[in-house]
Amino acid sequence: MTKTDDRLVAEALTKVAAEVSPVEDGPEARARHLAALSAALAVPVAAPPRRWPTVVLALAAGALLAVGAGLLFSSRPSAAPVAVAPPAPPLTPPSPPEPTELENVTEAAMAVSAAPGVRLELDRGARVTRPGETSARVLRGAVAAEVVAGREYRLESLDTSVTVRGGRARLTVGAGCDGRSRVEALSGAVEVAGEPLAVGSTWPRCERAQVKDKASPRPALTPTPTPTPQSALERENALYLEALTLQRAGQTRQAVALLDQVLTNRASPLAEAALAHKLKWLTPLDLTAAKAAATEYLQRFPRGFGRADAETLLLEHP
Amino acid sequence: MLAFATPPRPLRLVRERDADEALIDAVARGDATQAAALYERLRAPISRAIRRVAPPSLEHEDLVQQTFAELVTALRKRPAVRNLDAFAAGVATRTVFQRVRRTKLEARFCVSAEGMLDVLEGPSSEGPHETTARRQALRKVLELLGALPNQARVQVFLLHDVHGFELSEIAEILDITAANAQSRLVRGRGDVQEALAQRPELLAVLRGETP
Repeated sequence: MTKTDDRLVAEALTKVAAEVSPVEDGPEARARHLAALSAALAVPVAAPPRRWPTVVLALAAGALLAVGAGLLFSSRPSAAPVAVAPPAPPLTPPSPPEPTELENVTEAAMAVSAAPGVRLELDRGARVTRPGETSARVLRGAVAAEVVAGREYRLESLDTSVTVRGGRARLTVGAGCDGRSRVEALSGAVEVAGEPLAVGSTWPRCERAQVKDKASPRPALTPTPTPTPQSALERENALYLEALTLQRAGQTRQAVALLDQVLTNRASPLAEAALAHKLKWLTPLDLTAAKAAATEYLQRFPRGFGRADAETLLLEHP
Repeated sequence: MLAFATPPRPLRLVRERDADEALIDAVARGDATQAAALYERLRAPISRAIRRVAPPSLEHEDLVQQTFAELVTALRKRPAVRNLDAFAAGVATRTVFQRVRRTKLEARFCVSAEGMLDVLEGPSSEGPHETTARRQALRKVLELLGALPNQARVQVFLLHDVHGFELSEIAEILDITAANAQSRLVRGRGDVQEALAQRPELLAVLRGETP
């Protein structure tokens, strides 16, 4: 009996797969993996599912059935014998797990799996308490939650709550302009205190002047009025919004030209979003320019929200 | 001659299965002192499994770390683990695939796996001409598979027939039903046969029929 062609190929490739060797971890990688493993093991073991509500419901249903049957088959409705179910034994629900805390004391960022499909990344010094199946509370530092499609996870701080559905968001305690928490929506659907937050934007939205005032109080006398960063940001915002409008109207070239004006300011907070839009919009029009934009994006924002689009473009059009 | 400061402890044979069961139990209990033991036990199989299926664009170290975290979560559900290596390989493959789905690189999953290409492009330890020709043919076969229009079927063919995952495991990895996996496998085999029929010279090399 001769092998079928697919079987022949499969066997040959199986031998190749058997020759694949593992990568040796360096000391730093080893330390990182061990820290992540320790953190994952430190997450409290989930309590077994509570069965007492089911038991109570079953007893109640049994009692009702018995009462119903008694009424149905009785010839004397006024004096129907009523079967009474035995009283439910006193049940004590299992006590909730003790609150635990995770703190990243390593030099690098640390990732832990809080639940299936939910990954928490703790920056150096970050501290999280009660990481569970559905939520975690951030006490200190920056924590990113990465949730696979179809799942939902909530990050809480003292002053806000972030819900991530099939995406990624970062919550940094005390980094907001007014001293509150700051939330960055990196991908997927993100809600802050029930309000949706667009991908690429942050919450709360701060006035630039307010940040500046907080960082360094302005002197009492300002001799010459100069253009403030706020006005530059306003101009960039207007350009960006106009670009989006033009693109929706089908005028992609003009839209890209406006994005280029935004991108002339390398420090612009809109640069990442502008570059991400640019590479996507240019793909059907000018592949070379789109690839250049993708390369620039990956150089400037190697872990940005548009990384997947940029990498896909460069891989599909080498 | 080697000299020991203290007499060496006598070697003791321990059945690997017993040790694995103890390790799984420790993970389920949340015993953080076993982190190093778990790492040393599964580092190599996890790394190898990732290299067999992950495209080169994904960061290997990142995937290993994520796999360990997912493994702890998976083991805490007290699954029936017959072979810890195979279980870890399944979790690693699932982790890779989740990442691939997120980064929209699905078409390149498995077919352009870094480890497989390294083996095919690396020097052969055997050396004869046939081996080189065979490796070149296999590389072309992978290119052929990568160019097939329905990559979802090719993935199942590779996962099942090459990497040895069961249909139920593949269903979990790809987040599909077992029936769907079965259907994809049958059709994938058909696709592969059809594609190979167009390249008889590659089959001849693999059968060792070249002069």
